[in-house]
Amino acid sequence: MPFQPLDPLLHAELRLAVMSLLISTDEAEFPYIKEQTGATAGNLSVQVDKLSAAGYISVEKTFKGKRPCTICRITEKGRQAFEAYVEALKSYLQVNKS
Amino acid sequence: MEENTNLTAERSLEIITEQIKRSRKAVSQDVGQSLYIAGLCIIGMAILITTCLLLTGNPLFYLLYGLIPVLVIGIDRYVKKDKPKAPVSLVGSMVDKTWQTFGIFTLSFCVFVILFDFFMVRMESPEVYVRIAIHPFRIILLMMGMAITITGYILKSRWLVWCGIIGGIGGFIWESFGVSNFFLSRLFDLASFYRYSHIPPCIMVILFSFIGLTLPGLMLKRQK
Repeated sequence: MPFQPLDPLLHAELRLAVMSLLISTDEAEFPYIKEQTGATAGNLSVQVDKLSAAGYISVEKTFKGKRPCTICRITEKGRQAFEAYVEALKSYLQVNKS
Repeated sequence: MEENTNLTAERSLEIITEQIKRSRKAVSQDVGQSLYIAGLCIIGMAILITTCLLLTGNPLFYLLYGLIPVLVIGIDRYVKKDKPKAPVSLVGSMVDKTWQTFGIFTLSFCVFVILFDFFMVRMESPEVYVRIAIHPFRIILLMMGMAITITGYILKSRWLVWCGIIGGIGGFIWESFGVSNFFLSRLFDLASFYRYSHIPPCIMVILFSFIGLTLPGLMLKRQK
């Protein structure tokens, strides 16, 4: 069985973690993602921008009371990319098992 | 977590699994916090209402139970004010909808019972009224038990499921068979029995809130 190529954008620890968090939620706030991934705000911000630029997630900057609030949502393109990544991952795991 | 692009397939799978688990745990802890607050609010309110009833004997104080949703929502928001908001997920939405449904049914039922008992006590003779009066506590306990059990199934929390079943069915049976009144009637004479008859429902509410809300809430909050 030939190996399927892995999406390089998703094949990075932090970006994959962000996408995995967002895949099971409708939306998540930036501090929540930061807390769950254990990443620094700066690093996370860079990775979120990369995912947003690729159209995998949408980023909404709003206000929660007087404080700024960044909300991330996975897009349909991101969902498809994530599913394709998991499918590709399966081919590697099957080879590793056999 | 750094930008490591040199991942093995196993590590990738591990990250995905771990993050999905973390997401579910965050929702569970958020729900746990709300249940814990709800439990404490109900216990506090039950004690306050019973004290007022014992001091004044005015049954209108029962209406204070209607303030519980406002109290719970207010305190819940205040406690979670500075914490990152749990994500909006299918699991969270299902739990929210379960409790919204419980709220709608309980409030409608309470309004109906108040109106029904209000008119029946005036329209019927005491003998008939005693037979047809609706005692809402057991039904509320049963509905709350159902809501807790469903929440437990959604969150895959065995503790919550069992607390809901034991609290709901146990409370319903306890109230239906008048176990509290049975003990009360053996402890006091008739005059004192009527004077202290407000205490058993309060004890049931406190007990049920502790078993069905506070305890599982605390467990969900502290889960590792």
